[in-house]
Amino acid sequence: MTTRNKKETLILGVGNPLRRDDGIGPEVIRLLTEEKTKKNRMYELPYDVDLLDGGTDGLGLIEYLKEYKKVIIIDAVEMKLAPGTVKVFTPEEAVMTIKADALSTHGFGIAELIKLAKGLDFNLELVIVGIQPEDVSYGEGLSKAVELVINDLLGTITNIIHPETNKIQ
Amino acid sequence: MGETIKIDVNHITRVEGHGDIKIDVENGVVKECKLEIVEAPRFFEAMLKGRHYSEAAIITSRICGICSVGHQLASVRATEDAFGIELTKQNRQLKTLLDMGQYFESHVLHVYFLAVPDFVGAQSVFPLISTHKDVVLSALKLKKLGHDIGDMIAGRLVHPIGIIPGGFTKMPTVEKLEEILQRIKDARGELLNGVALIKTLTLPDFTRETEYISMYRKGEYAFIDGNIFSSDKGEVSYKDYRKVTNEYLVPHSTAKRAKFSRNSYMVGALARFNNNYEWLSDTAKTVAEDIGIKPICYNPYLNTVAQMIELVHIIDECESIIKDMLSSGLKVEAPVKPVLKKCTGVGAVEVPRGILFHEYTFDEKGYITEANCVIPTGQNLQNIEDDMKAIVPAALGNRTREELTLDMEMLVRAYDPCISCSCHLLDVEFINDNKK
Repeated sequence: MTTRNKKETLILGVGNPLRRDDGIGPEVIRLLTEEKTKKNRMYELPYDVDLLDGGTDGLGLIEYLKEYKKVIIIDAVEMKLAPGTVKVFTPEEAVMTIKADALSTHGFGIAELIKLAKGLDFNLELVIVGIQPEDVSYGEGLSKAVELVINDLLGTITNIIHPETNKIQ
Repeated sequence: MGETIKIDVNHITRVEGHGDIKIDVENGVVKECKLEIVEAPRFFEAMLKGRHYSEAAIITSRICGICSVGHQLASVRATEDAFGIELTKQNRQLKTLLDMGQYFESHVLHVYFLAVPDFVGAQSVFPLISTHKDVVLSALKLKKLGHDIGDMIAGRLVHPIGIIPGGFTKMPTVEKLEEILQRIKDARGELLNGVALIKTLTLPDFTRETEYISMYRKGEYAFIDGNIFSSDKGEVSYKDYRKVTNEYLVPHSTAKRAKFSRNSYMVGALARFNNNYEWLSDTAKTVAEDIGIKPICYNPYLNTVAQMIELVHIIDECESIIKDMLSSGLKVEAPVKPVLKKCTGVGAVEVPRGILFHEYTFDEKGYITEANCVIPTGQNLQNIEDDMKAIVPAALGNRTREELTLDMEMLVRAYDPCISCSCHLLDVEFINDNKK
């Protein structure tokens, strides 16, 4: 797949705000969108970076991956680390559990999405910003541990794209 | 002494939601053969009580993210029926297009991603990527088309916002209709490639006579309005849907079941194909003949094939509706405001998985005092179980435990059941754990 006609960068927040910390992805998108409208911005993003709250739509998101050269996925990730830990990694650096035989639309998550994008040869640079959740039980609102790292997290995300070279760093 | 087989599939995969298969054969005697639905009941009907008519479609849409359009259509139709709001030609066309957009999304997903892997001996869609990459890409394209039809008509295909009782809050533009029309024309070729793939598949050879129930409207392959049709009993008024569904409970399922003339009946693509074959488009009929499927077809595994034939029909139908809308010219129609009164209404709509009913009773201020929703998957459950009971005894001695388990899973998947929704969390384990 050629990169011609592709859009530049997408920051894609995924997760379910009704499962507490799993909502960190959509929350980041909300905050970054709000930031864009402010006069005195703490975080600056290049003009060609789009923001999208992907919710819990797994397979449907493939269409968006197809449209961009670079995608940064923000998601709560079970990494067995201290709650609130943030890690930036590429799909190649992690073994993501594919529930291949448990596949339905409801079971189609980010791991499956990435595998599909790779299999279909999307010419795509992909980075995942994982946040270790503390609590993914039913309910709204983030845990203290995750709330405390939000500012750092926004800084990390906005620093991933180099302001001059426009490359993922 | 006969065979002893125990099958316990805890969580059938590649269906929407959570269901289990339990089979127990002792010395050649089938002791147990059932499909358990173990998800918690949803209580949507109770939630609707006391809510305003304008909220019903928004609430019931949340019964399912996959089927949200279907629930909104049935909900809006029930409210319109209660307040005596007649559909204008354009409103009917828009609703039909919206329903068809959903068929695209839903059928493509089921046929290509959930069902086909079984027939090519794959565990999931992933092995298909290496063997049939073009098919996967074309499936994604077709699915997107369905999505964009929904966007055009109602703002979005998942939990749409543009459809309300009495009409729509926005209109598609002529440019958008023209763009979609072009894409629909292009999709026909892609779809026929899929048909070619379906033709090469060997589906299990099993038949069991049963009753087929669908919508019916003379002269049309009915989607959003009409009466009920039973292959056993003929036409029944949609208002009398309770006489058809006769819902009841069984101990091993949290979902209600239904029966009419026999112990069970089937709804969905195969039921529609059997009952409304006459009104399929010519291309769809040609495709059916080419594949070798004729009504009445009693093989439930062919539900997947019927879905494919419906997609061909839908392409033709969408094309003709959009052409008509473009040539008749779009009219700005303000949604009809209901005149409030104590009343009851029924909405019966063919959604991808079968006939769906919503019924509401309103008080004089437009608040719901009673609600009832009858879901296609619930109507199919007993029929699936009856198929299982027919397949298992015949398979004893011929099929291994593994083969029989796969037969059962494929059977359940063929019905394309939608059991419910859940949350997703990514699980990873790092290869080189040295990154900050």
